[in-house]
Amino acid sequence: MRKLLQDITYLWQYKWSFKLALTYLGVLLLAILALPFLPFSFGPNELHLSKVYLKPFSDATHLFGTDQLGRDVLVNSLYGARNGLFLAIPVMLIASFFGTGIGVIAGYFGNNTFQVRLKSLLWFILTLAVVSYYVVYLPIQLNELDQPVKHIYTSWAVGIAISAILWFILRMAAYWWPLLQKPILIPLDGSILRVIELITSLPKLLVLIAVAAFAPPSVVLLSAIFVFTYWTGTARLARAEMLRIRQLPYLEAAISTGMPTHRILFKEAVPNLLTPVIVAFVFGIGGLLTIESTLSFLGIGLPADFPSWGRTISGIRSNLSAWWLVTFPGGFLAITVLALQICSYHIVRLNQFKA
Amino acid sequence: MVLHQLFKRLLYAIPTLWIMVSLIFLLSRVLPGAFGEQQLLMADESFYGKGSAQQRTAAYEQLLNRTNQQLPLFYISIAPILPSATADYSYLLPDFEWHGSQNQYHLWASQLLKGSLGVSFASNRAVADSILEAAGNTIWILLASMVAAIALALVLSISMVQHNRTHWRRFILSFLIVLDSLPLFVLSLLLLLLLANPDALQIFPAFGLSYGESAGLTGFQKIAYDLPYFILPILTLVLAEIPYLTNQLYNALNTSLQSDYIRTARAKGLSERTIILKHALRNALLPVITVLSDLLPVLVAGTIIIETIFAIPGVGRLLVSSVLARDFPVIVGIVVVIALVKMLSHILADVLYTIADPRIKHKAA
Repeated sequence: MRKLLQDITYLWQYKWSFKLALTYLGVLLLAILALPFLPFSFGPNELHLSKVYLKPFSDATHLFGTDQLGRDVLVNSLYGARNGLFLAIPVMLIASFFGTGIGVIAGYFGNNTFQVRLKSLLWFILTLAVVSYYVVYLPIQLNELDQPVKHIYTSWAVGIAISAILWFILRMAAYWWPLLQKPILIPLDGSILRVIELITSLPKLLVLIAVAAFAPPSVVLLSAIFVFTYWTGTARLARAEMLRIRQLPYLEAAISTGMPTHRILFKEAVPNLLTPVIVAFVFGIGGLLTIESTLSFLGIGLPADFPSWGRTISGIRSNLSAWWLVTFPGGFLAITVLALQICSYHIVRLNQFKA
Repeated sequence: MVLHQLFKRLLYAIPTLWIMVSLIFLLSRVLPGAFGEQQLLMADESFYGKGSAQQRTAAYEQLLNRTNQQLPLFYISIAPILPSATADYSYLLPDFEWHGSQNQYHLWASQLLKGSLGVSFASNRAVADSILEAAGNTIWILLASMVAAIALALVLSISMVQHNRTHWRRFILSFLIVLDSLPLFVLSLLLLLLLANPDALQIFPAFGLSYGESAGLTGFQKIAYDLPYFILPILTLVLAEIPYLTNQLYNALNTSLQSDYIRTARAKGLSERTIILKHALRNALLPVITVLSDLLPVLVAGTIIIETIFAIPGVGRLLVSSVLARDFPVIVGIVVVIALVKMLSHILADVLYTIADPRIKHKAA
């Protein structure tokens, strides 16, 4: 982590393009955080039907012109940045978190070290079924039927009670039936790679469009699909880094001193693989911004009252001469993606030279 | 040897593919909002909204029957709990129901195994026919753009590895980074605004294909008539593909230029040109085989965006329009086709690689 900060200060001092990109991103971040407090005379969804397709710089109140419904392009571009980043940053944070965790586990344990006893494995599988029925499915059903809350609590209590009873039964059974004590080797690495392969077996945009088509447009659902399709990249990266770190002498030393596994992972391994993960994070935000605006340009997945760069740009389809609808939000989008790419490019280059 | 490997790859790839496609199918049916529900059940001023509530429900049920949507989704299901079940806590016992083979998944899967992709909800046409018709336009655009992109990437990367071209290399690399950060739909709209707009330069026709106009023509005349409509989409796709392709080729060329046999070639006194073209390029071309199969996601995204923007009746536009109409059989059909293409292209790349580079075969054996 400290090394990354050193890298950034070094690049800040010696690379003007990095400095420019980082400054731009900082200003953008401040601007979108302060956006609701700025004194704009209209909101992003405010319609002025008497002033449609206003050319830029022709009207003092609409500096960048208006779109097909008289919405202000400047305000919409700024809110598009805000919504795009407010969607991309949390999605990428969650995806990186899960991706790093899963990748580190896959790389550290590999295929031949992770063992559980048969009884624990059985308990885990049965409990998973019980919990998903009593703790998730049933309460949702009850809630939809407007049943009193006490039934939901009963359902949760029953679910927890059954898993506890199962645990006792399996513990008891293991005394008479030694087979249950038998340790079973779980090929963690192989199974995780299989899951990743499954998810990446289809192009991302295709999965996104297909799944977004099946449900009514919603930001939460779309974010969930984003997380589902984006964690695999970070997981692959973290796994590869973990495989490299696992061979290093310092980790062997940590294992031989009898350090507990979770401490080895969190204190010794994870800080050393953060740089590539952060680079992938920055890169992923750029990709997400692009995909989010592409989807809202196509009118798929995002609600129509969600101000976005893509929504403003899609106004061009009904009037080909309205160039300002593409240039301003499109340029804004391209510059933001460019700034993100320059930042990650420089960090990658610096680490390549060192290695 | 190659056949054996091919067979093994297929055996591994098919289950993955089957699970993913099944998941997409199940998701398409399990998420709320059936096809036609909105149009038929809502009372508003639209065409369907004028009938009485009873008529509308009857029409909706007829539609469900025709499209098999009233059948249970999977072989097994948990019966929904009834409001009365809360009185005696009987809801706590899951009530499993077994449906046998009369379920949507079984019907869909058995049809798929027979090679049929089902029938569109919206147009009542066979999905395979619609996709085949649309693919006729898409394939030409993809092939042409790939050939052009590879040629351009080759020229660019060869010109970049030459020793005395530092400024040129820097310029091209920064140009490619900027190009890469321009989202594809913004890029194509900008090209459209610049090159097919009466306010700027009107060189190319903006939208569509020359419907009808070329109907009576045959062969080359037809191609000549349609060509201007294809140029802008192909150009956009080429611009979207070259950053990645050039980068990969350039890196491969650079790596192979540092190997020992290049030093030997230099020591023999060969010209820089011969060294690059005859010695380095051959080895650098090997990784490109895999790169081409990696390009598939870019191509899929590209066709979706470009066909929507330039109004070309291809697979991408078919996908977008069926998404907007919630025509699930077509969406799932396109997913199946693209998954198949991706699997085949990966396997083909592997086999080509082994044929092109004998060292790999020896290692595997």
